[in-house]
Amino acid sequence: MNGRGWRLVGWIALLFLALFLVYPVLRLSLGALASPGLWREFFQRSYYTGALANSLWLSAATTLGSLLVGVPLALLVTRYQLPFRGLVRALAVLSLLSPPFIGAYAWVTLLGRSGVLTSLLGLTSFSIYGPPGVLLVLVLHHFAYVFLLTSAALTRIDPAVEEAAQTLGSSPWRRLRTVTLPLLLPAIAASGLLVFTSSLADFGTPMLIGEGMRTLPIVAYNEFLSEVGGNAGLATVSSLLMLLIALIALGLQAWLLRGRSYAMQSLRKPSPAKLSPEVQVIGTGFALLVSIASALPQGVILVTSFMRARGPRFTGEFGLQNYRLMFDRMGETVGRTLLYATSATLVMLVGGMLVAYLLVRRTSGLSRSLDGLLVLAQILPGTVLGLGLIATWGRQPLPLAGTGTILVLAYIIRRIAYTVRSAAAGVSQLSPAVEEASLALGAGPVRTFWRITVPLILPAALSGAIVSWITALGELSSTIMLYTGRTATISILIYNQVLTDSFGTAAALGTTLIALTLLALWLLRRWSGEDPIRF
Amino acid sequence: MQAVRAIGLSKQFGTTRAVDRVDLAIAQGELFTLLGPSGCGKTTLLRLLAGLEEPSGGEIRFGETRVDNRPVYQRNVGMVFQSYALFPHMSVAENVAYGLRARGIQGKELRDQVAEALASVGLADHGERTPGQLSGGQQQRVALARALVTRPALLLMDEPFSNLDARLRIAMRMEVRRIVKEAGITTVYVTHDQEEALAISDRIGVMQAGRLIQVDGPVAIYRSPAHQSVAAFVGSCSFLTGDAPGITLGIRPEHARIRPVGEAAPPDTLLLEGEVAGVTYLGAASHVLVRVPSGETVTALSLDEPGSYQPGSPVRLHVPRSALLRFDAQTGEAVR
Repeated sequence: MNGRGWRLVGWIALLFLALFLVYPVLRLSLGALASPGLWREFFQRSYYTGALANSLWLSAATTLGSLLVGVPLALLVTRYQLPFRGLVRALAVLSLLSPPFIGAYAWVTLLGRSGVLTSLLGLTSFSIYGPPGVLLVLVLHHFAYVFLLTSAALTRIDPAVEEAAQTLGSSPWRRLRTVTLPLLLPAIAASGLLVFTSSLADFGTPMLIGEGMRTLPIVAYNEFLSEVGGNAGLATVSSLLMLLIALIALGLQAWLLRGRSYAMQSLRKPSPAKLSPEVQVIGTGFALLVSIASALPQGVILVTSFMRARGPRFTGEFGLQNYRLMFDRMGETVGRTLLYATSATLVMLVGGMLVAYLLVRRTSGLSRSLDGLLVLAQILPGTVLGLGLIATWGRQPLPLAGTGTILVLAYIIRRIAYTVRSAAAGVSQLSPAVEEASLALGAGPVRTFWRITVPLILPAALSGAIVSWITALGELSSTIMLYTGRTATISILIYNQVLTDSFGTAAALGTTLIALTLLALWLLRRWSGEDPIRF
Repeated sequence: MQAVRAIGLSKQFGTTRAVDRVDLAIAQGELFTLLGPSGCGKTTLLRLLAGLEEPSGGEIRFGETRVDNRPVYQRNVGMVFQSYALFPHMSVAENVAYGLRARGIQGKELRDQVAEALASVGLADHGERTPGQLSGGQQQRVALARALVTRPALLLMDEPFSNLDARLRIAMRMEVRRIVKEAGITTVYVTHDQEEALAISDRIGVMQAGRLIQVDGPVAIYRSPAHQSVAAFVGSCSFLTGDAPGITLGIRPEHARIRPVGEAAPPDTLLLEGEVAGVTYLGAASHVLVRVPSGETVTALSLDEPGSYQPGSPVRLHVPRSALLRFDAQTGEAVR
């Protein structure tokens, strides 16, 4: 494509983001700013300020907890001789394959009032319900992001830099503090922001096990949907506060990272160091404990999906009753969820590769605007997007309320950033000479893009798209604002099943979700010969 | 007939002129080398000829046709990159077929031409492999076959051997010369390696700071450099303040003969007294650095036994006056 073609691609992408991201958010903001009474009401009632305070401490504590678990785990696993390193990594990846609310529900079956472990261990004073349980579940879900991103950054550090610190007389601790950790800071800050915005926007976990704990997404949802006494204006205020907090977190991360961009690519891997026996035992125990705990929900769901259930209790007999029930009543939902997530992913894949090329090879004011909007899309809480889309495209001139299209649009906006970032990494690794060689051989720009560029960046783009697809399959926070009976997805069904104590079918649905994602990962791995989940 | 001409060709990047009003004419079938230190603009000039950069001024003609407003894919050029730039997702044969397919060639004709091109670079039975399975030298041959198979009006090679080891580089450059000469294709070759340029070229254009400062055959470039910087860059050369005002003398090591102190100089010989400042052993010969009374140093080539010259010992240098290079001390230009 020539310059004009690429400008056209850029403008189309910008128009899309303007219509379905900027305009909805702007319209929400302007509407709420025009009525200061709403803000006064919000800040005068402890019902709302309590939700604000809960959201703030919960996301901050989740971030802190995930960093405290994830960073040491990454150092242990990548730099030291630890048994079961492969298992720890595999469990961490597995834990990310299903949305956090599934973890919440699995912990209920383990440690809830009638949970397996509760009765087995005779626990009376402890339960998973309430704010501490919410925090525990969120940390167990999110530390894997920190662990995987920090591990990837650790393997990129040139060992010679650390060796230089040693030859200059630094002790291991001093080297860690003065060389390794500063070089890891970008990855730590990026994963911290990811954990913060994701836990801030998480709707399912506090809703399922919070025992009435109010957070901003819950308040927004209640105000928006409750038939009596709901106030859509207050839903908007809660949503905008979420967005504001996310933006402040983004600003904080940018400030932390100012002037710290280290391009490093090491060809050599450092050989893992030996630990003293005591430290090795403690380290192994810690790594196994947190990684098993993080992936335990998947195991619980898999096992219980084959158990007969009466309401929230599992009878202990095994059978396929849950699956029979699921396919009888919910087969259509499974198909629909696949349709929505897959259509959104196809758009993300094609659009993502085009936009990624634009971002890397055609930098301009236009590409920088797109880059900024993608950051906004990534940190925008799903509740806010759902609310904004309904407010703007719910009625004429484009009445999308209650359609599958509006869900697909929400998924694209929410998850396209993964695909773009991943495809962009592929483009930056592609030498411009390869494309120039094609041009010099007489292939025009369009032919060069489709024959040379696309096949070569496809593996990178697909590994981003698969993450987009997995998260779209389990997307709850925007879906719950946008779905109707005809467009309910698997995550909505699971959520409703858990709320109505139908744990058996919820487990079957959850297992289906995990099986689908594992299948997709396996297929991609066979095709590209690479591990699709690379951080 | 002139196959390629550049007239007043310039390329500006921001405030720097990478290529500065270059005039150039290359004959049909000629192997022309652009030689210069890194950053001199030789690669930019090559990319302008290819159409990978847009000129800021001037024109380019292939034969009688003006091409500077044509995009690269409509110029019918062949290009060989420093990094080979093979398509890693295609087989060797598909790489070679790529340019032919873009020109609409199919079927048996395509297969025949690909087979012939692979045979010409000695890779007839490697068509089904992928580039990743080939050695560096083999990859470079594929890149050459891929560029030649479309019979380009102009073949462009950008430091094609700098990623190969020294021995292979020497073998490859002779082979490339044979292949492009057999095909009769006009070739522009970019290198910073002066020895490579002298060995491979019909003519050499020496570039400095975006300007073409001398265009000549290899012998003339070495023997009669048009500028002090050409003498300094091509081969080794020592410079002395001259015997006439405003003149700098250039002395090639092989022209400075080391003689015992007190030996009389033959007629028409420049005689320099000095002492040995250092010796660099080169294997077949040695470079002896001689400091003359003015404090300047002259490098002399010596075939004597290693250890013949000790630092500090007095020596005498004889340089035939006919071999002296003379440059204007102000402008650096050669004075005949």
